Amino acid sequence: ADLSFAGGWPPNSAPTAKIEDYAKAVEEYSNGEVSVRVFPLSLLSFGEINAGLRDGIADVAGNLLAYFPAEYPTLNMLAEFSELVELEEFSGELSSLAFTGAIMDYVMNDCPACIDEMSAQNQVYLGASSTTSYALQCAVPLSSVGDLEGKRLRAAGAYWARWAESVGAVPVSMSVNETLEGLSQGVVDCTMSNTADFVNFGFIDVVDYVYIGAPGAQFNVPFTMNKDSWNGLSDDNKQAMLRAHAKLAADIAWVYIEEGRAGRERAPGEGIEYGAAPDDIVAMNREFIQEDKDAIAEIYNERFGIESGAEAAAALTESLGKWTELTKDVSSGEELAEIYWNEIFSKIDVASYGQ
Amino acid sequence: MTDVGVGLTGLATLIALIAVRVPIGIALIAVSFTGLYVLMGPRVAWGSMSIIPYKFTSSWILSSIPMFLFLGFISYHTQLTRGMFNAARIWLASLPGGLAIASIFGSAGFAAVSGSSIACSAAMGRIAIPEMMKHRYHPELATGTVAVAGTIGALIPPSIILILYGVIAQISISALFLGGIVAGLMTAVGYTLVVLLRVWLNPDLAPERDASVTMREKLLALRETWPILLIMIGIFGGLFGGVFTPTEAGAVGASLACLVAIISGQMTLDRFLTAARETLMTTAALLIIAIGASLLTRFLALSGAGDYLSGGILSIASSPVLLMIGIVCVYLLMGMFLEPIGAMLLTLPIILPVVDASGWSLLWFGIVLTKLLEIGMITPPIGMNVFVIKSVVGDLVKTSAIFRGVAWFIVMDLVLVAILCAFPGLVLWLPNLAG
Amino acid sequence: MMLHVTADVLGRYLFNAPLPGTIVVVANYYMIILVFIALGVAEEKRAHISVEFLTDLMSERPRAAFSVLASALTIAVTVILMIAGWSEAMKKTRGGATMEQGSQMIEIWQSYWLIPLGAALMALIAAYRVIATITGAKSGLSETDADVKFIND
Ligand code: NA
Ligand code: NA
Repeated sequence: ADLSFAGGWPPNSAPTAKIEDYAKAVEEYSNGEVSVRVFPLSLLSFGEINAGLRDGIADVAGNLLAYFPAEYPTLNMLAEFSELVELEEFSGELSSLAFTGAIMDYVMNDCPACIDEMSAQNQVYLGASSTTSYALQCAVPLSSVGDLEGKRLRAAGAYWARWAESVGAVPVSMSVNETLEGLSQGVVDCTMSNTADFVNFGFIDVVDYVYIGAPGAQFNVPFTMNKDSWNGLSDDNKQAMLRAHAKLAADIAWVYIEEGRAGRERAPGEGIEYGAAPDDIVAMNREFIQEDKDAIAEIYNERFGIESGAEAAAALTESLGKWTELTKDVSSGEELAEIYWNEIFSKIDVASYGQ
Repeated sequence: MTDVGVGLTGLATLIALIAVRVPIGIALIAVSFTGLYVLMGPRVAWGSMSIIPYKFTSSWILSSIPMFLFLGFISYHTQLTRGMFNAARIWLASLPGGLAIASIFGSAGFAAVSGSSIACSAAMGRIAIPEMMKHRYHPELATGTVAVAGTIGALIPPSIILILYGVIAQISISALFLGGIVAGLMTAVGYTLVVLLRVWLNPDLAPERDASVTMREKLLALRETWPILLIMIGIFGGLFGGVFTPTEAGAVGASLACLVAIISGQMTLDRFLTAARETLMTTAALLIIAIGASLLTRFLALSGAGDYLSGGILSIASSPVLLMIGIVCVYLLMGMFLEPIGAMLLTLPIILPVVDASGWSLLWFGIVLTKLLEIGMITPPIGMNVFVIKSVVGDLVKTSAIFRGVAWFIVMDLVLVAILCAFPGLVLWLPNLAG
Repeated sequence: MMLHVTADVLGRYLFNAPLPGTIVVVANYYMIILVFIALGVAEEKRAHISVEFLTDLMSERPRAAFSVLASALTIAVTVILMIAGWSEAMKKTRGGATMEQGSQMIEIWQSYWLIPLGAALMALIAAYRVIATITGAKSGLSETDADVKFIND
């Protein structure tokens, strides 16, 4: 089979390079029976990917489900629980690797509703990657929770908007491309963005302060495949795809960690104060998350009639313990891919998966 | 037929359809749909048609286009621009060819509230040409200057071409705008030199000058410029003072223009509706081409014809200088016949990968490209700015005479393009300073 | 749209109170209305951009033939756009498509119907023009060639 992968990342970016590696891996694992052609940005934009996969314009892609709240309520709810990684027992530089493992594990094994949502869009879920945690990246200094009041904070999604409102700040919606200008001209005071975007979108050139540990939470990007294309593969080739996807999920999650590290290392040279958020902000954040995880369950119940919110939060919290342990010493994408493959992807029954 | 073959056949068909006057947007969509159908089957073809028009159009960043258009149309129909020219005229009265130079700077001023070059030519044409004729300027000089001065409208921000380019090339629109300011002012200065040179060589071109202007008159004239200055200050002040983003600037600017027009007593319901109608039609006419170009991009990507052509261009052009000369020639040739935004949208899917692979700055290229496209607005046989001026002057001046008047300026334009290519830093220093 | 965005900017700057959902509404409603409804208007006024250079060199008959070709193609494309837009609008309506801005949800499925509507309008106008050209009847469409040259560049 000859598959197309619609990348939403720009050509020459680190994620796109990892997608090229994935394409080679698919070919290798399938003994040349499946090949993948990668189209960085030229085939489908992130906004078009969901419908594009549904209709077979592309076969595989990173699909930003957050753009489609009505189509993927359960999966989006689970992604919002990434806030849990900021709790004391899970927080740390590598927390995104643990959350990536936990959410894939849950979706692929314990969430029939997730598989149904995917099926209704004619797609199959093949893992996901989380960005690093979101941090406050500011043009103005913050020394305590009180300083956040009245500040204009760029919010990339519902979690961050709720967080901003809870501290008396003003959440501002703005596309990520406009944010750099918004920050440099002072339309917003801070952006709440992950530590990789700090470099990728050039915030490093305009902010003076980066506060790690708040507001936290991560953006989760599932990789999904057109269901007809998936069903057209032999079981062996499905197995090969899963193996390549364990690698892809690991590589992308790891790339974000590396990019985050690069930003942290460059920051002092740019005169940026880069460090942990003030203690009272971190403490306040953890309190907020304890309440917010119930709020998430309620919001999704009210809007979409999902009743499994509290249960899912509990299951993810438990699973995060296991995954934090599994990933805490990871030092490369390959190592992480092995873990994802052994713990999740290798255990999937390819004949029945995704139906 | 191979996939690449399908892609190339599609492109050839596209060119043929456009040549026989099929609307560019329709031709693009027809070829892309058919091509996707042949390559990938009905599902993909229908799927693309159902997704891409909606997703492309429902863009927050593109929403600034109708707003900037409306800003320009309102300013034009409520004659907020007249004062700009009057002030320039009075201040430059003692220079040889002062009125012609005034029309250049009047255009540059109007450019700051108008996204397009035709609007600029039209506005200045109606104001400046009668004035120059009255002072017995040679018709070729009078009409030619105003036709070329209009092209500054697309360089000095706001600029529809730069917004579309920024969306497609995924680069910062405010950085493009800053680069455009430099290129626009350089162009204004360049055109001024041409006027001075021509009048110096042949004083009969602009026989009368008005040396009797007093300081008092000069200061009084400045008062008339307040509408445009206020709008300009509002837009740029707000943009760089952290009040709004470039996307929002169009809407705020348009609101401001309406307010200024109301205050100055120039706003009527009829003018408002005319501006609104023209905005609607222009937006639709532009966006359908952009949608078609967006579909064509997918077709070229899936067929591999895009990579094939880009690769071909890179392998033929053995050095960057040769490549740049090739690109300049292609756009000058296309500019003779094609409408600039259509030409840009048609070619970017192939040219951008080439530019990227060459390691050139996409920002700098956007500015050079705009300059090249704008030259197309004044070259025969299809030179839109020239036609606009022709519609202003009626039977008084022949179209060919206007083209002759433009010729001198085209030489200057080519010099300017060469300068921009040789010194990319000229374009980049201002964006770098701000970013 | 102009007033909505301006109000959002002023609210955010002066009162720290942006209008919720502005970006989603502008992109998914105003832009779609503006472009797809204006398609038909632009067709009526012949404002769609084309290249007349070659056909202007031709004599009357081939020029009329190409004009019919252009209109026929316009009809074909807009009918395709209408059908594709229709089927997508059905899907979005069934799924109740929404978008999120900040902590708010905004329904957007309604706006998908504007595409088949606008395309149908444009198809009808193009069809009317073909009939008028072939039968030689004077079309009642108000074509204002001079005005529509005001395409912006
Ligand atoms: Na302009
Ligand atoms: Na031309």
